[in-house]
Amino acid sequence: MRLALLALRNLARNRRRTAISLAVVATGTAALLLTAGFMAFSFEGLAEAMIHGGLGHLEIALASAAEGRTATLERSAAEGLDDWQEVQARVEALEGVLAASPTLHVAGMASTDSGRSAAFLGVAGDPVRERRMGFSVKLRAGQPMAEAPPREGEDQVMVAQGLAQVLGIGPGSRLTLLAVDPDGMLNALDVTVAGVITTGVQELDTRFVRLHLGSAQRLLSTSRVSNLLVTLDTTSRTETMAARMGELLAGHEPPLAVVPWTARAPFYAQVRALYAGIFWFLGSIVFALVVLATSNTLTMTVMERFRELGTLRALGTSVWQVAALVGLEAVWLGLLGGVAGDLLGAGLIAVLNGIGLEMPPPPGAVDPVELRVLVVPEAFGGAIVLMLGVLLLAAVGPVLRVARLRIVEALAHT
Amino acid sequence: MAAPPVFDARGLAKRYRLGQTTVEALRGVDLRVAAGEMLVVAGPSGSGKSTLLHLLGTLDEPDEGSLAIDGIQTSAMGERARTAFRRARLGFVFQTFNLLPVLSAQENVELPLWLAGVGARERRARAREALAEVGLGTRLGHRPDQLSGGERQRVAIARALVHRPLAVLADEPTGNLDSETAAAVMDLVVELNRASGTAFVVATHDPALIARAPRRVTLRDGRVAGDARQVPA
Amino acid sequence: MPGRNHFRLSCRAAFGRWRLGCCLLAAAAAAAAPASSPAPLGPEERALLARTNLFASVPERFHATLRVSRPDWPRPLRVEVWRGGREALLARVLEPRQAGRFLLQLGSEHYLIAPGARQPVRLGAGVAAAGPVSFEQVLGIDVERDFDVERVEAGERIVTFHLVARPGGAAARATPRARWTVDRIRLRPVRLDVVLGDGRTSRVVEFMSFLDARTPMPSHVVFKDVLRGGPPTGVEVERFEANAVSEGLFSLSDHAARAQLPPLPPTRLTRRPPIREVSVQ
Repeated sequence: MRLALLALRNLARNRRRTAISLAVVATGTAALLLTAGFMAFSFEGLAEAMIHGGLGHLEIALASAAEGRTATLERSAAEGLDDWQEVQARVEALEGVLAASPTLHVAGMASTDSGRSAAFLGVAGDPVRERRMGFSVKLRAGQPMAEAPPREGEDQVMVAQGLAQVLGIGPGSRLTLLAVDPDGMLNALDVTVAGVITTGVQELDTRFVRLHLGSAQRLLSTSRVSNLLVTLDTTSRTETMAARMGELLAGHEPPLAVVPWTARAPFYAQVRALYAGIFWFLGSIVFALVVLATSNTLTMTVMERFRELGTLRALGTSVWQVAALVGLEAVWLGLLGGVAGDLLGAGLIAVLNGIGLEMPPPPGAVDPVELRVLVVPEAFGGAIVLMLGVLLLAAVGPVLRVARLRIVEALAHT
Repeated sequence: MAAPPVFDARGLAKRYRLGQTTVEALRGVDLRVAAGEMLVVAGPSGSGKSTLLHLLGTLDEPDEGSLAIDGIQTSAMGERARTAFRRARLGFVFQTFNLLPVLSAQENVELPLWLAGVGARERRARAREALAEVGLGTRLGHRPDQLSGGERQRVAIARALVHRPLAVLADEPTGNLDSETAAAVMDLVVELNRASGTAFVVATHDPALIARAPRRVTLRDGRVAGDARQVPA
Repeated sequence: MPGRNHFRLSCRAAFGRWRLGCCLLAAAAAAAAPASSPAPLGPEERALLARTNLFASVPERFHATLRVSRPDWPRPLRVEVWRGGREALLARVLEPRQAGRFLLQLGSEHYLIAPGARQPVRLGAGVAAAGPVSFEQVLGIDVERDFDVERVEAGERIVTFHLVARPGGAAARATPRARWTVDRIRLRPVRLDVVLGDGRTSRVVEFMSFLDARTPMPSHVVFKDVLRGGPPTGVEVERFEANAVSEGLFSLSDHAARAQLPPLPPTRLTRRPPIREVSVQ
């Protein structure tokens, strides 16, 4: 005979009440799993979207440009890399590196033949490498710009839909880009709109332009690039590869910085913090609900069995043994409820992912988001541990009650 | 040197607060119970029978007086020591049987042995033996709700005796039984007392039961009104 | 086609070097505070204004090379400018990377001519005011044609004309108000304060010296951006030629004349321009 077994049998006495308690625990567990799974999906989706939307896993830039400005997505060409091709070759020779693609940032004004003009933020790159890196462009109209370096007079751009709307242009339209080169001098370049794209971010869509590196270098009269963006075979290797690249590029003059994508995306950290806040808030509600519901159950269990507990004490059961008996009932509720919640959560995740629901675009985004919930193994274990903790907390009151029990009064209890 | 009495109570007094008033349940009770002795504590309701049994069973502490069990002063014991003492040296039988409903008859009887740390095999053997002694050798696996009132009380008696205590304290053991069953239970108690050498202190106001005991202590208003030895009926 | 593109760039600072590179020249700082003269513009003051108006007195057609420097620049910038009449000014930076790029002012309109753009890109008022090369910064302002004199502060030697741009005139947007400080003895401007509509001084052009007594062309100018601060920019004339400048250089539609310009200055530069210092003390 074991106390644990006795506790389990006690739970089986009032099956209906135990079933309700288990349902509460299981529902709470499943809710936490779904939330954690959705968060994981959101984080992963956001991370991959940012990495393959143009951030890359790592950035190699001049240390002077990156210092204190790791978060910025814009790097002045004035602080660009001159010998970027050599650095690119060294980095691409590393195992685990998909590609190191040069980018050149350019800001200025875009104007049309009809006299409309608007400020633009341009990012120029090497389309061949970007394709290899899995950089995605969401094309809305027209076609991607040519991958080969453009000849003079044949420069093309991809214009974000908001900017295209402001300028009243579409595929095939002509634009003149005006920008300030690294020497602080104005320059202009005629370009043809190859396609209209979306960045997925509303604000950026009103200003964004993608160019071929060759076009941007022509506009800025430079052979430099702002930085090299490196993508890896897996996101999880970001930190170790950053360290390896840091060692590889150690003696470079001027000094280079290897910046992980997370440092350049404060937005990601903010979203994580926001989601974490929501998760903890929701978790607290679930926690409170489960504590209240199960605490009530456990209290009732104790109240109903006062005489029985008194008898146990009379027969020589110690205070802690009786308290442990009640505590073990809580443990069983937490354990069984947690396991049931894991099963329920896994089932719901399978169903939700099977249905393929879509959510409206989040604030600031353009496209609807597919609702997917990931299976987070740690969450499945963690939820059970959490529920055990919750139930133990819920058992504190009843256990204290049992510990203070007076045998004579308990025996007289009807 | 003669063995010390199982119970040696001197001037036991116990008061309870009942609302605004204080009830004096016991007002200086002296009682000595020898080893293997069987006595009934008789008296009307409210005379202090149950209170006396609670004090003798170390379930409660006297406000005044002293109690020595097997020569050991209970006033010197803490809560943990009293619990251990009960576990090893005393057995209890209650009016309402107080069996654990989730345990089988055998498991209920095993309980004191389990608490005493007896190994599973020995526990089972002794429980079966105890149940056989009370005539329930074939009802080992039955849960209390599958047993009659008399059977339940016999399980309770087996539970009280299985760990071979110094004394069994029985509070109205036949109070919830019909007269026929009560008589049978009483027969069993008398027989077990004789066979086991365990002292029995039985609180009751059942005349049939009172008549079966060799010694009768009568309580009235918390005092010993009579302590007579008699020839059991 | 002129006036094709219209920009309202906000990044003024970005054009600093252009603006400074093309802002000409020199003259001395203000002397003792002049006494106020409430009298209306008399014939003498009118004549003084006319004699100090560089727009009228500097040759209408000239070709010059400027050396522009600032303490925080790694090296000076060299800028070539052509003046083609009262309305037209063309400038280019003499750097290999800037080859083919020109800034052209035609009256109040400013254009960028770049090899990558088939047509000149018109720069909006914001950019023009921010100061890519303009007459305002080369020769000051056309104090007679574009401005009315609000009042005059006349000292013994220094006279300050408080000017208001004529409504609807070419200067109205870029230079709503100005203070034109001149030396009545040497008959040269000393300083130009460009004043915004709200009364704040925007930029100051100090005419430190002139080429010689006969040619009132500033040879050294110090430019200060009062509104934004930053180090002053010095502009010195390395070479100055008053001669016939081809009209084709100022064409918006025909790039041929500009295309024929040599990529670098046509002649070896003199080590230092023939400057005659003008003291106002």
